[in-house]
Amino acid sequence: MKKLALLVLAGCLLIAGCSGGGNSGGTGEGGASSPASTPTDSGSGSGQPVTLRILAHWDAGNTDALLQKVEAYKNVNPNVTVQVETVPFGDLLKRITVSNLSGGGADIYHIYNAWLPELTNSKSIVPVPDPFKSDIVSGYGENIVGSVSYNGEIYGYPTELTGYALNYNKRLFEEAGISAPPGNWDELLDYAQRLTKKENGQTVQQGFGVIIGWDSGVVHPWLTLLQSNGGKFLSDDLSTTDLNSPQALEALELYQKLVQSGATNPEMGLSNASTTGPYMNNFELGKTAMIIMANWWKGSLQATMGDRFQDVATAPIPVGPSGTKPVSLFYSWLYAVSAFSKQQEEAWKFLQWLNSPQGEGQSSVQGDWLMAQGIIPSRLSDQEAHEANLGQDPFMKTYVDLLKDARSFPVIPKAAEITSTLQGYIEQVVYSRATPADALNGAAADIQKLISQ
Amino acid sequence: MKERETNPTRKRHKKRLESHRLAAFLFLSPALVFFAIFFIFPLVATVYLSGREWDLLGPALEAPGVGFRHYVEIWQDERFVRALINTFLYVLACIALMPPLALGVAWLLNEVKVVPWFWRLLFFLPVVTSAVAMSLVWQYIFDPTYGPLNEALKALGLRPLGWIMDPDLSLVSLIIVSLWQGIGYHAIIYLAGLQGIPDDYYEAATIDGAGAGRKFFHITLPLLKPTSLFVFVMVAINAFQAFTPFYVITNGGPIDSSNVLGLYIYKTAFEFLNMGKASAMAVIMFVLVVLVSVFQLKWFQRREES
Repeated sequence: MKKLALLVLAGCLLIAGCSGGGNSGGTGEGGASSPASTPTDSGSGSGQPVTLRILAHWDAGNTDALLQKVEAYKNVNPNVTVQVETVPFGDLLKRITVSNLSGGGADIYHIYNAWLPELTNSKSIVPVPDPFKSDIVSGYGENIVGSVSYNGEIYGYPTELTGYALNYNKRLFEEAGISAPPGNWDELLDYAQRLTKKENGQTVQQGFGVIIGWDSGVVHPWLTLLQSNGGKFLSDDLSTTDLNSPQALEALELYQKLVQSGATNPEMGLSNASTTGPYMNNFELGKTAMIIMANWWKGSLQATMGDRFQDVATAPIPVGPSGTKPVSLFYSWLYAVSAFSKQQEEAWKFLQWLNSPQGEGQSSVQGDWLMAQGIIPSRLSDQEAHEANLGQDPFMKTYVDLLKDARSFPVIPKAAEITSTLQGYIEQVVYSRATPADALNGAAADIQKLISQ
Repeated sequence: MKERETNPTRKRHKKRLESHRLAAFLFLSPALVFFAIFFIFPLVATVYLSGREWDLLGPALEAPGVGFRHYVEIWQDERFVRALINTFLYVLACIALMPPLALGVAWLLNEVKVVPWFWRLLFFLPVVTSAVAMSLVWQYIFDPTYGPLNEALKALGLRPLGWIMDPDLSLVSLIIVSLWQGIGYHAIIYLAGLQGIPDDYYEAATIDGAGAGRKFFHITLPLLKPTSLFVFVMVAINAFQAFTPFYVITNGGPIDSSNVLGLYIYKTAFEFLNMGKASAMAVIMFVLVVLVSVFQLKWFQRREES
């Protein structure tokens, strides 16, 4: 029996070992579930009924609102019906995976731009065909178009934009006798210390909050500081890291100084699995005076803080000693078309309609829908059409103003693992387990290895 | 004459035996099919994928082969080594603490005569509570800023601790959570074992003048060996596969201080989209679980023989 078990184990190992060199092809080539490589005319001209399915992670309320708005598409194409299937964000990529394996699934995916390398390498989505490409290039900012492109191809219509700005509590600032948010790192450090309160050795109010435990929550705010110090995360061609620069060292030393001065308490920065949690609660309760965060948390703040939300204000990212202006970070979402869709042309036509102005000087349907949720629309004409609303909302205005100079988080393979790696090294500095120099050397080496794979 | 008589008999006996075997196989077949689908196939698939570079997004059968590369790579991955060490520490802590605590609770449950059903329900409730809901509540209990645990420490004049936000205490915090949730289940198993020990042994020991301690070490513990073997093996296997509290409460942090194998395998597969590497780690974990289980069985056997 023992011999048999050993033989079985050896056989299993052989299976793993012998799979080396057994297949020189890439994923998705020549298989039974190969995608359609050219757009097919679904027959809108012939009047055949067409159902376009969109896969997204929206909640029920927003989904219904969009479906109501797209009813108007029937006036233009009466044979086309639009359906939306929603899954939680954590399941969205898995659902696309399963759809690929079965060769079916939705026609249109609403995806996070960080997934572009994996989805394009596996030929799950198709590049934007020529008639629609010029619409995207002319309708969106260059940095936005870049965020939905990979290897020189544009892969969809940009939708939601998420940017980062400094959020602060005006009431706490008044109590500390500070009249304006910090514009540079010296002020940031000074104000953070003045805004910190301790009782019996415990921090009851921290001047500047950081997030712990959620990869993007740790990395993105730090990258805004790096970029506002004139530094870069990766080279322009995305082939090497720029983390060994003096600007990066200064940015991590800033975190070290904030922690060592007691103005930042990492124990107050816990994030839970749904990317909310105590770090957010501490800001809502007035225990954190300043934090760099994304615009999407506005709804949560309003819901929890109620009247106290009027204490919240936003400001540009403080500029570092080696920087000249605030340079924020953004990431985006896009509508991409499935390579397995048999109605690709119909899908692109619908997306163009959805994202085009409804009239001269008017917003698109997509723009209206995003604004109703408090999300910045990415199309330039939508931002102009909603300029009054965006301008009148002081919380959102900062984010919109920062967008024109903001840099997209790099669209690169293994982005999730790279982010997680950098998170670990930043946390080591925040917890005083590594010096900034050692942390950056480690991060640069590990991330370079991932980029090179 | 005798031979002619035995041959037909032997044939009939053989036929009966074969029909019994067939009947046994048919009765076992649903379980065998279930076992094949949910254990054998995933195991073989995992081993196969451990030699492939697959990102979940294309057909697995067309993923390029990489041989044993993942098995070499994972040992160069500091995060994997850290997760392995954390897992071993966690498993050792669970093995050292869970069975004695469960036995202690079982002994108390066996002795208590006032509403015994209430105490048994109380200890078993954590076992049947949703792991996610329980983890979210513990996350707030352990919160260093306003969690009730630190408030209690402050009320007692003690220094509050960082708990799940302290890299030196995050694993300890999760061990506490696991003990809280798991003790009830193993206590019920021990309770059944305790109630299966005949009273005659204790009566005889009492007549011989044995005290409570001697009765426990010379009667109770030896007669609970089969139960203890089961508890120890189950505690180890479950500890190796720990996931939900680690994912919900700390997500492996801070700084991977509470990152364990199950969580790192999940992240590698479904967040980093590196199914090949995750499968290699899963194979390593499988081998470790088998080795630890075999070691425990052998150890108990040797103690039995001695």
